Amino acid sequence: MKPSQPAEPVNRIPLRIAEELRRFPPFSLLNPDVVASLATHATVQVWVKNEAIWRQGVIPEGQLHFLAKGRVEYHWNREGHSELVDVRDVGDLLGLTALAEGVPYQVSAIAADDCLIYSLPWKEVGAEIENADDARNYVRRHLFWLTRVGTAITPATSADGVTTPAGSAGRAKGILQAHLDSAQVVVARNHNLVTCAPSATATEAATLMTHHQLESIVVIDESRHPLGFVHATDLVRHILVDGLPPSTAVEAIMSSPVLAVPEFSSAIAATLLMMQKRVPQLCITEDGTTNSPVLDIWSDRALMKQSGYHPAGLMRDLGHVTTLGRARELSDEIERLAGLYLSAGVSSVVVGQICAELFDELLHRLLQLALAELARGGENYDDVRWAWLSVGSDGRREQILRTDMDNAIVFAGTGDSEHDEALREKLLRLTQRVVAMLVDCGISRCQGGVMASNPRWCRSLDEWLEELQLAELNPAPATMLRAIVLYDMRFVSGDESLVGPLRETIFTRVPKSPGVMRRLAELVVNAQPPLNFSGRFVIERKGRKEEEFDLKGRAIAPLRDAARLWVLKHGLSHHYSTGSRWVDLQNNVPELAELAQLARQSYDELMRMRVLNGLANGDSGRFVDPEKLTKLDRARLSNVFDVIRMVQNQVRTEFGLELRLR
Amino acid sequence: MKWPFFQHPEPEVARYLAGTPRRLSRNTPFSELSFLVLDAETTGFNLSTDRLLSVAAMPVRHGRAEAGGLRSWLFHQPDVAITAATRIHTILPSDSVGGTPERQVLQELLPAATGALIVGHHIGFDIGMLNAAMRRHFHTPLRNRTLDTALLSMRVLDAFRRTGYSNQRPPGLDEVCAHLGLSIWERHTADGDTFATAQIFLLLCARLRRKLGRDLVLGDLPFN
Repeated sequence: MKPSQPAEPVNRIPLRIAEELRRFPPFSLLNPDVVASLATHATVQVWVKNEAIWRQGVIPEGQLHFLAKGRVEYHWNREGHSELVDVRDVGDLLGLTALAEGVPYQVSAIAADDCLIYSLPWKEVGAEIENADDARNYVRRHLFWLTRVGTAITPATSADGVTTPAGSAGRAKGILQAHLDSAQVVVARNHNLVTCAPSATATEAATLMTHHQLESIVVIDESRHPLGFVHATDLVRHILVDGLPPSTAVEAIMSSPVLAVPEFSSAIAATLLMMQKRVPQLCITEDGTTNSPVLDIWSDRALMKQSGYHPAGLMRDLGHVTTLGRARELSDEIERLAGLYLSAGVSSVVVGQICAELFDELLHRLLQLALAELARGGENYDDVRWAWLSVGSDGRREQILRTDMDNAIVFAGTGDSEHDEALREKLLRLTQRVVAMLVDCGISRCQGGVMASNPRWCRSLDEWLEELQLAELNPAPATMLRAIVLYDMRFVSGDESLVGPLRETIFTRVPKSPGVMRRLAELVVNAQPPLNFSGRFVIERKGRKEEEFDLKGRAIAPLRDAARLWVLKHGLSHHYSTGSRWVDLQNNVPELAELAQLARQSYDELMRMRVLNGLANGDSGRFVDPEKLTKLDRARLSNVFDVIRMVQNQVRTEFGLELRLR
Repeated sequence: MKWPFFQHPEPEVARYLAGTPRRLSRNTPFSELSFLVLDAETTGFNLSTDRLLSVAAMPVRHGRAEAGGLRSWLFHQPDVAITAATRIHTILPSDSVGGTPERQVLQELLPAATGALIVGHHIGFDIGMLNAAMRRHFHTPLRNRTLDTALLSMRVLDAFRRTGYSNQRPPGLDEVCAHLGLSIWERHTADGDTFATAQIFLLLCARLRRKLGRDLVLGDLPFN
């Protein structure tokens, strides 16, 4: 018999290695054929307990290690003593950071057990990971950073070797649930219910409704039993459309009979009943029938208003504020609402927007009150066009906490400087009153004097334009500081047509001014992330806030400044908040898309951390004590700093700033 | 090394003989040594009547087992019968028919073995079978120095230490793997056993290294 086809048996070992690799990310995220071809380059190495796989400071040999068996501890040697910083378990990759960044190993890897390691050539693996989106994402977001987390941890907690993706799973109840929990029963409000008798005329009912800003009024008999409702739509239908005379008695036009529920019954059931019967309101009566006195009326608005601190309810209340005490109370509630949302895992960007709307409403109301007050004193502001601006962080809709106010006034100048001065004087009387009211509401005065009550921040349109031009000509730190605050401006109240040209000028002129752009870029780059050479937190060494680190200055600021810089560069003027700016960049600037996404997530995380920290400590939340952070928070924070480094590097290359020694 | 008075007529064999020194300095560092881990499946245990069925070889250089460098061959054995061993290695006579002729396998194996130290579990038997084949075809045995991982494990692992009892036998591959906590992929195929042996070898060397507290040299390993 002759040998038919001398067949070479397939080498099954690399296939088995590939199978082993594919049980773990990032290999599980690669194409199986790719893993199989990578595995043919695999070599097997063994280290026994207490041997060093590599030493800190050594340059990697270009081999990526996959721990197939055993356990490896990372020891970080600092000033003569070494510290266990991390543990690697079966399925983990070793030395990825050093290889990916082309830097020496930052820690020593010591075998904690007999270790069997498959080594793969980094050149090939790196290329494949770069080609596969999922794998690249995984590597960048998890391993890459965790190898850098310079925090001391206990081996037991990281024994699973798998990192939980950053998220808020199981952290708190959902926002809807939070609302429903606090609105489970129908409660009668303790106030004077506006009612009318069946014999009252439609005009009388309408007057009452307008006066009390109600959309419906309940009609009762002598013993306060409910007979029917007069809703605004009833008035429209019968008086306007059917043409009944306004003197018609309400009993002819009211919706009847009414539906009644007892007090402390289920709010959800009440709402469903309203939806089922298609009525806009119910009566709360003493025994739940219409044959007992009415206590209150229940509408879908009442549900919302009662549901804990609902923004809609707050918004409504803010519009009705008449005293400063109530305004103060509502400001407290806005802050509590923000805390509730943030701990329920709502994005801090969204919360920032909600809070900005609410504080804007507050300001509207305070302006109205101040104008009314001044009008009583004989001052009239009808002859001047002005607009109230929010600038700085307020302008970016990021003031969740009542830290300090940042606002300004722009008014239409007359061209005559004396007349302008007179107008300014007049406006300052208004703004000083409003600022004093804001202070009463718990919003402190700006230390830097960025307030509409400051003559330097109360200027005519021409003066502002001139100032912007000045910053372009001479981008010195002092002028830039004012200009940057102004770049984040947002119209709040008054005459909006004054603000358009100002903002347009900023977005057309600034990108064309290399000096200003360079200043802005430097601002991003100059903020040092609070990590030292080997990726550990650095805490403040000097000053009052010793042993804490500055979350705002070191982490939030560079991301905020970078977003502003790129938004100006690419002319994306639609959004105000840093979070939305990053989203805008992600959608409109392809080369920044990936970075912008990471930056937005990081920014969100930082803001959340800051606000929750601020609420916990009752301050601005700017300084964080690293000892008080949980392990997960610390890991997240380190990840965030990596993003900041990426952002800074991108700014450096894009704006030609030289690499500084960090 | 040249032999002025004798040159083997087969060029592959001549190159192999010339490139494989009989002696190496005892002080050669481990990382400079080149090993070839080897395992063979046979029809039985009789050196003169039984035949090779398959063989696999994996290089270990610079302390690394090169998984991609593993090669295995299936022998063309026209007249094998189903024996007790067939149940173990599951290479059927029909498979052997499709294999590579013995002579060609040896010719391909020799370059890999040139200058290498051969390592295997119970390597004496595998080398005996290979030498029988070498003698049949090339009239010369292999001249590599060999190391039996079973003997090495008796030297390194306390569990298998020589006790002096006459009935003590060197541990099998399964026993050593179980003791070291390794799992064997594809047991009783030349591939799988070779890979397992390579892992055992590296692990034992690493254990010995720790025991001695210094990097290994050739003299530390019980090569014959």
